Amino acid sequence: MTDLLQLLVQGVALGAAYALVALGFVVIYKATAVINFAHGELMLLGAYLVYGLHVEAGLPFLLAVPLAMALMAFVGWGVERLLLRRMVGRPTFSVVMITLGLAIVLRQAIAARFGFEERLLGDPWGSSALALGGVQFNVVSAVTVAASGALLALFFAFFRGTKAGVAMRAAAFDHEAALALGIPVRSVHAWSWMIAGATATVAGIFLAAFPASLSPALGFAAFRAFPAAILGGLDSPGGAVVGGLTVGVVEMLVQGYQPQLAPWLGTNVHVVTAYVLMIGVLMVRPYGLFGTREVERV
Amino acid sequence: MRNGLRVLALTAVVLLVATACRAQVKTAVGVEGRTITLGVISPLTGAAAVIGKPLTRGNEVYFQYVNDVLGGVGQKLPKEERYKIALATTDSQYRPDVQVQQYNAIKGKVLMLAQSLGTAHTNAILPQINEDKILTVAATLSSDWPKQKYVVATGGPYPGQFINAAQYLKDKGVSPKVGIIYQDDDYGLDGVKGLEYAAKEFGFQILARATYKATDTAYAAPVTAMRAAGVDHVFLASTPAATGGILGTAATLTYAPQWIGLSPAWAGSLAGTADKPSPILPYITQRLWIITDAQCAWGDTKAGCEGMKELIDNHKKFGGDQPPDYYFTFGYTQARVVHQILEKAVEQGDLTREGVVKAFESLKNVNMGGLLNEISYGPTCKEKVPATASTIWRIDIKEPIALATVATLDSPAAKKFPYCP
Amino acid sequence: MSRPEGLRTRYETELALLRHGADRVWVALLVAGVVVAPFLLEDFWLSVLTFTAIAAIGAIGLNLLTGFTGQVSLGHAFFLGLGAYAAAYLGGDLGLPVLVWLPGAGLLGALAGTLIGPFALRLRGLYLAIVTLGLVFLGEYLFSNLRSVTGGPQGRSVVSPRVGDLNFADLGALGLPLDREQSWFLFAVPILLVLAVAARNIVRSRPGRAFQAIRDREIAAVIIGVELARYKVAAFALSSFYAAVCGALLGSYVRHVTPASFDLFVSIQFVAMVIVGGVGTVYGSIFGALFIVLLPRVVEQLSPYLPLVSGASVGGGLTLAVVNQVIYGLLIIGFLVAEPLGLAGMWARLRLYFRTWPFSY
Repeated sequence: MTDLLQLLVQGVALGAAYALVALGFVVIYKATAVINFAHGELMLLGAYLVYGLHVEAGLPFLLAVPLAMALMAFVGWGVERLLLRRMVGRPTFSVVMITLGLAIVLRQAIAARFGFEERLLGDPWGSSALALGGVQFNVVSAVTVAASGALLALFFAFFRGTKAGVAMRAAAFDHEAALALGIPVRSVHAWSWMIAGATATVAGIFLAAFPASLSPALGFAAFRAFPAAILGGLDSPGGAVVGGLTVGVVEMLVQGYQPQLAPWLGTNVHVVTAYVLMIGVLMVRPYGLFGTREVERV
Repeated sequence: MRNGLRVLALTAVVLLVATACRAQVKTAVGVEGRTITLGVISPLTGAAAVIGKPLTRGNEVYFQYVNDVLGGVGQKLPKEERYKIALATTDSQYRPDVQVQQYNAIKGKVLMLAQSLGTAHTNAILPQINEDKILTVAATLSSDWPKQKYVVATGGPYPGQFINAAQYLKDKGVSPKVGIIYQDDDYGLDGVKGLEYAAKEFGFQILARATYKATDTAYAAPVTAMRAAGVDHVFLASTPAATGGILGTAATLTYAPQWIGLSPAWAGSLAGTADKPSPILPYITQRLWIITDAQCAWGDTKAGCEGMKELIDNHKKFGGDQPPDYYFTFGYTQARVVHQILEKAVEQGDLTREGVVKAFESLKNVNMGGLLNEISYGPTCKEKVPATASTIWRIDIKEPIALATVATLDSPAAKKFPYCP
Repeated sequence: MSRPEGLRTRYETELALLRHGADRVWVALLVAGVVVAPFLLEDFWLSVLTFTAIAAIGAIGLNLLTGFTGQVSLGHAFFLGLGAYAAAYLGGDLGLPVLVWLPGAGLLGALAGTLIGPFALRLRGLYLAIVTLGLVFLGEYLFSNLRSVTGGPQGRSVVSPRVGDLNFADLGALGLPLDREQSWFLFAVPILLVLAVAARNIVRSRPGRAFQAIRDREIAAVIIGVELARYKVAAFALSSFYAAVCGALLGSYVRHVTPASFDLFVSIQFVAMVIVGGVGTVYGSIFGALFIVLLPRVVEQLSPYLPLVSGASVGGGLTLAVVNQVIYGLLIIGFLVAEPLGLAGMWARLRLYFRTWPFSY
């Protein structure tokens, strides 16, 4: 029984990290209708920036993080300004492919600069752990859960409550109508990429946290988070968090119990459970659990 | 249709005209004048580059030593007649299909392959190696290589290492409750094979097995599986990132069995450095052993470790950019084996591909100066099995590569393992 | 007076594959080139061209699905793997000749495509892309676990293309002066040409027009009577057939396949071939394949002349390996931003420039 609880707790921790990644996806999709396949690499870049500022340049951790977030916001702005602005009006598939190309370039650039060794972020939580009712977990896992909850609340307030947030949603819904209403669509796109860049930094920090470590391979973790964003609904931040937590918990439980309960499924089923889950949800609700149904105009 | 046709035809003509024509005369491949070209196919990018780059650097430093200090291959020849070694290095990106492409790219200009890293990757080029008769030094310790005619295995195969570890436990009088966590590929499966054999030999049961995928980031499941089965000795066939994750998770869960890892499971970054130790350093200093081929510790210059002294000297002279690394040693040692093969080939007066294979098969009792067990090969499978002696290490941050010797042993069971059909 | 291009006065000229006498000359040149190449080119370049030919088959398949029908798919690698393992099983375990296992692998791929196709009916655009992404991971899982057929994570060997005693990969055994690379070239390229012509014909005919209608405006297509379900599934099946044939040939050429050989990177490579070559054209796919396969080799040859790149294989900073990959990514971005019609588009513009010269503005 403690094992089940233990796995659940670890699953929630993993899911919270996935949720942070998924939130970044959702922000961009919500504002620009683009799936950003380079999000994993943005995450990586953000985490390495924190590493560079904190470990290499010696800045205190709590200063390095906001600085890195600001730098990544700038990077996001740069990507939007230089690459994506030219692609307005082109099929979304092309834009998606551009993000894939960007992912390849970024990954190599990071590896060229930092190499492939595992590095430690030097975050203040380190390996400290807590025990609660027979279940142990890392302090950093609790912080991850708190961070994703906080970001979610922030996004919720932003998209519903502020003028800028509503403007973003309007621009995503219909470029031309938004333009007609005086919403600066281009700025909206830039803003969303900046927010995504900053969010990616946070996601990267927590994915690289103990007991994992920072290495270029972390970019691949983003692929486990895609299904989370999809099954929650690509334009729903709440969906991203629900999706992330679901994927994390299911993955942990499957990895823990499948060898005993269903050995015929072979090894390492947990890698695909996220996608199977996603396909299942999409069959019933083609826009994800909380996504808005697209209306097609003839 | 018209467009495409024209362009295709144009392209075909242009390609034919622009590219090199077939050579009419075939010379001894890989040897031009006094230069021998050796091939290297190694992961220089990608996650496996932490192994591939230092290993390749080890190759390069040793061959530079041969060229600059020894004057070249052919110690019995006068200095001007010796052969210099040139390397054709390619990046496999740790992908078997790229390994094949790179092999195709260099096969026309190399005498033999000084490095082919990766078990699946070497298997991918095996049919072609056999057809082209190119001797290949495999930078992996899979137990399959002795069965192959054209593959040189230099280190004790993985199954034998686990068997030696089990022998060590038995000698200490321990009745272990054993489990294994292994990477889901042929490397991991090799470890499982060894442990199963050891279980039969020494009469213990494997209480729990768990795998993980190389792209995982969370390891709670394998660790809880071990804990639930009451395992107190976990054998680990993993790679550094996973080792860190697994041990870190175990530390958090306050689960502290004795961990025994194969050589690829270790990387210096797991311990960190003296001024920036990793958070799990206390845990691994207490609970982790690494088992490798029997070899001298880095910097050890006692009697029997002359090879290590040579390595340290050459590392200082030619390899200053490479920090001390276990894989550097591995690559350096393999290059040394290649050198022995080439020397033998020159001695036998046959520097062709067939000659190199003959030289390999006639190498007997060559001392490796403590860098490796003494090497001896032959034409049969049994003779191609490398010496199986192992060294067990513990973690000690004060040592250059954070490893300090615990014991060296050579279990008869390790030798008895059925490497050959 | 020469006819202005595009003006047709008879059905036969519209449907004919080779419209002018000049076309026949080009075809003859092409065929001559293919026959003569093995005797002129080094093994290394023949190997590159064989890889290109095989990859082009897959690229054509993906272009049919994505370029002509507008269905985004990142799962191409899955069908390639399916074809390769089918070839290994049918040719190796069951010992069937290539005339059976090659089409058999293709049909298996088509069958899988028919099963995936219905998903496209339910999902739109990017959601479909992610589901096909899931296919890749599902494929890796299946290939790693169905050990009896696939050999598990270690992978397995794939047979050479033979019919009884005749081994197409080793025509030298027949007494002809041809080694392995030459034999493979002469085996793979004709297969590509046949499949390319077939694709071209499909595209020019009714199904092809239906595909393009779906791509351009799905709802309008339904209104004019194009059966969405039928043609979408057909597009998937057709594309998967080509992919499986490509995978089977690839497996046989490389002789050993592992689950890792069919990962997301492979899918991306094929998408890159389609984009760089030109969406929506058959010959563009062949160009794209040539470009993507040749690129790393060309960069390697040029590396001594490139500044900033250290020739050393190891050491920090910009090594050759890194440069290769960066150029790869930059190419994808560059083509998408600057030349969305790919190489085919560039060629078309070049032709137009020369045809309208000196009034090319």
